[in-house]
Amino acid sequence: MKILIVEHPQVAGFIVQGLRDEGHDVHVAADGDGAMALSRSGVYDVIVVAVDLPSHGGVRGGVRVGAELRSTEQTAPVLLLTSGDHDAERLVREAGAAGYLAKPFRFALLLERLGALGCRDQLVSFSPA
Amino acid sequence: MALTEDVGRSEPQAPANRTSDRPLSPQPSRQQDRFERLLAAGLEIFSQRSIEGVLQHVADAARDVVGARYAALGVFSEDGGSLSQFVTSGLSQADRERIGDSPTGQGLLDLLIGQPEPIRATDIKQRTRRYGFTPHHPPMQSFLGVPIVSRDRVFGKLYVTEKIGGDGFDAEDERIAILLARKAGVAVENARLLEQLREFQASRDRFYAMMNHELRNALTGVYGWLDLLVRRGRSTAPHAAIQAMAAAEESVQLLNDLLDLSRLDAGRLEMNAHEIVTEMILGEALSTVGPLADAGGVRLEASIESRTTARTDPKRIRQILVNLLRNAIQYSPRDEAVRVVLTATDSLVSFSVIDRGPGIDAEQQQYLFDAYAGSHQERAGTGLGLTLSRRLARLLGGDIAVQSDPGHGATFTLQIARVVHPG
Repeated sequence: MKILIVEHPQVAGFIVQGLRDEGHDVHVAADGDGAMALSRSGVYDVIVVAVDLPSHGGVRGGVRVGAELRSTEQTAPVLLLTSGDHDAERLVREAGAAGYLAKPFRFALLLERLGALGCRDQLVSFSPA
Repeated sequence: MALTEDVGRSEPQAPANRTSDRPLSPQPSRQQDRFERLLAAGLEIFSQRSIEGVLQHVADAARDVVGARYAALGVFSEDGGSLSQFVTSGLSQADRERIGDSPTGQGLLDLLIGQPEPIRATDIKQRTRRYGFTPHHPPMQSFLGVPIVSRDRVFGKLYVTEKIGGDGFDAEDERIAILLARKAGVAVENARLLEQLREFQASRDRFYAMMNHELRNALTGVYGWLDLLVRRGRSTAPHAAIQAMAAAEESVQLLNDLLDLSRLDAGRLEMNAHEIVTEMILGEALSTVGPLADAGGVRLEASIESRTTARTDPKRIRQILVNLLRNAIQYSPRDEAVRVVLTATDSLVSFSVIDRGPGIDAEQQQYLFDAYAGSHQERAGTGLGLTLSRRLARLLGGDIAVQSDPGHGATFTLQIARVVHPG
């Protein structure tokens, strides 16, 4: 799968390494601007966005990044990475995301969620509608 | 106490405007009436929820009880240079609009700011231009101004003008105004202290939120890299990596507890009540701690003495039970059992978690549920779990109690209401 990770470099490291070890094509952006630039130049299967990105003037910049990605031609489902937010479901709605995973998480769980989201996207594209 | 002064006291050529302190003819009914009005005003003032409400009622009461056509009350800003609040009584909306903005420390008001004593004058009419009345101000002659003081600080001024049925204000009027001004002073001071407290709480909440994100991201990195290391070869993963992973998990637990406690302190932890089957919640908690019990060679036993339902927050009950079970497993010797007994009455559900560990002495029991009490040594290694559990249990309409005989294990009993009422 082609996966875009939008996350602090501090956290992104192991995610990128782990996903590459699994054979995925992984691209990384540290903030919203980087994410939009990468999003314009390629089609992704899944996009992972941290909620607590400092960009866009706020601790929850990731929510706006998610929403902005949805407003482009990019149709990849977004998985939010939350950090102890008690209102995760609301954030998912605001970001137009497909779901969330709370940090820290088991790597196996991330793989499982990404797999499900990637598959779902494929099923949608092969459906007659 | 009454310092009778002419407004223009600093000018030697000031006309003799001194008011007389001679009491009015004795009128017990009038005094009785004033006393009763003052009492009623006091009750009304202290039942106000907002500072604006208090100030308005003080101004209204001053006008009413003293017997004046107009009253105004100005509160100085924290730096004392201007007015942060200004209310009037007796002036129509149209009058207020004609006068324009609240006075800004010029003329009469300026004089009042610099004057910590009461001022009484029978005629200030000829000085209106000089002392800061705007051209459209209603005509005013008799005047009484008193400082709003609380704890030796002057917070503002209360003044009444145009005595009804008399030439000027007397000493009794002044005492009443001082009393009412004192009430306003206490209210202003309390409102400012409350505001400071709110600011402090807000900055503490922001700090908690920031620390949560920073720590969580740092731990996510530690946890994630260790996870990759362990995943690569479960059988060949270094013992150190597995231990480090367990330590990282514990740190995450501590961070989660800290976050919940900070939300409890801020009153922002929400309960989501559902209809639940109590033994199912217990079953879920037991299966969560199953691997930990297996690793420690501890058996888990459950006695369901009452099968019942409850309307409560299942997530929080599970959280408390998992915490109590983890502690019990951690302190149990190998090959021993941790037993949970579930009972219920019409109004309460009880879960007793019983272990055969070393037990807890009376002194330790004191600090067990209160992370804010006790010294670092007294609380070393106890974490936040029990503090959080008790606070959650109380939100769920119950509590947690401990019974322990050192050397003979401990029993932690969680009680929750069958029906939890949010808020």
